[in-house]
Amino acid sequence: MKRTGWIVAMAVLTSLALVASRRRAGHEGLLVFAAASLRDACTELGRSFTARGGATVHFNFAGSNELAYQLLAGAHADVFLSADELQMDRVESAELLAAGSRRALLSNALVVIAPGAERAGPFSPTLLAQADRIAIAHPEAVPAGRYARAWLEREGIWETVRDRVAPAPHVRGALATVAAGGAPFGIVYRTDASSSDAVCVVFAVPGERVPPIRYPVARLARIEHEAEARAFLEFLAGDAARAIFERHGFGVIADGR
Amino acid sequence: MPSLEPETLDALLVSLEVASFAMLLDVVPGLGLAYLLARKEWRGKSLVETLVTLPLVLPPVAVGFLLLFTFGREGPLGSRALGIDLDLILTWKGAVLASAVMSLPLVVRTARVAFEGVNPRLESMGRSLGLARTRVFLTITLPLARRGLFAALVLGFGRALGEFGATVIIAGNIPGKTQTLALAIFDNYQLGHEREALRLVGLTAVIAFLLIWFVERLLASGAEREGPR
Repeated sequence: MKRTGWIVAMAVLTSLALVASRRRAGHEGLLVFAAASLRDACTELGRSFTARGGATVHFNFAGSNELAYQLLAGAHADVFLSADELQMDRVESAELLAAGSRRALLSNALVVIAPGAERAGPFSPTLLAQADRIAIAHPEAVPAGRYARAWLEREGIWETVRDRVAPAPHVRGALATVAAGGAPFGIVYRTDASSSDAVCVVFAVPGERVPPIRYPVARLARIEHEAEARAFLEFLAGDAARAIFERHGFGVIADGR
Repeated sequence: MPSLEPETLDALLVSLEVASFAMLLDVVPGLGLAYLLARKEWRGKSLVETLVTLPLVLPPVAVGFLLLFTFGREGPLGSRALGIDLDLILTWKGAVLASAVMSLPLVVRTARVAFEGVNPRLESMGRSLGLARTRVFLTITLPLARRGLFAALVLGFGRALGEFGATVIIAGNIPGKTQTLALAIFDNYQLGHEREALRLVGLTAVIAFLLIWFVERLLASGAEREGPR
């Protein structure tokens, strides 16, 4: 009697662990590190890829800067989709990319958003200078935040607003802040704005007033699933993927260079 | 219970397996340390005591960052220094490590109380009857302390289930791979999916309630049967 409790306890733990490792065995697949702004598009792409006979695709969505840091710290991934060239450069200069696999895939644009279904009255960038809070991704690290900051600097209001910026760990965090009413304005990608019903676009930032917003993609070097990763990259460049990206509001860069 | 979405089921299974493995990792060092702290005197004991309790007080992100730094590619226990890749960064193994470290204080502290509750005279009687030390431990100490030790592991399991701060740094938040219930709640909060977040909170609360209720019953019935000491 005295030992039965222990035997039961250890049996429960061990069987749970066994069940778990069994489940794990059937759970292999590609691991794709993708910028947070690609969340909806990539989730759909992953399903579409698998449905066409490709491998199961798991995604790690975060700010591209965080993904780059994770890769530099030794995380294993098969494919990296970054929201700017800088983060891809960091990974490339650590010699973690498969040579020749890097290409520019997507383009995007910035918009100013406000909470609610619509906002009355005209908008001009000077309104941002009067807002008590502006939600953007972190302006020093996260691509969306750096683009937003570059635009605010171009408009000459960065110094005025920098203390009123609520920095988020990634662009979807900034979107969530505005959607929850935590800030009267936010600056996110056009594609993020269209993913939420709780915010409205009040201003589309002209492309020539921001550095080009380009999403590069690359395979990682020394990976187990090289063939599947190649297939996934080919799929990303194909017509089916293009249709999904465009439906989510991304621009697809044709020649990739 | 309403049927579970595949994502929710994934998060639940990942949580259960991570917490189980964390307790498998903790059981020997946790109970061993607890026994040493309860029964032995040695130099540096108070230092070890303090170190073991540290994860209870340190911000979990601090522990997570320390783990990432230590086991990162260039870290002192990273793939470059060791020559082999432990594959802890952004994997479920990393989540297990983070949970095991974060739960260890709770396991050790609870188990220590359980060992201290065993009357040392019973142990010395056993020894004077000619039983070897390991035999005394296995046939007297362990059975008498079993409820408390079991409670220690269940509490540790519960703590591991709820672990967030250290896990999100070393294991990330990958649905189906490292996304536990706690991480899934955070994800849904960030995405503004209130209903999913609430449903996950409800599920987590039910599990936590059951675990604590179990621990309380375990300790209460133990106290009843064994009486005051």
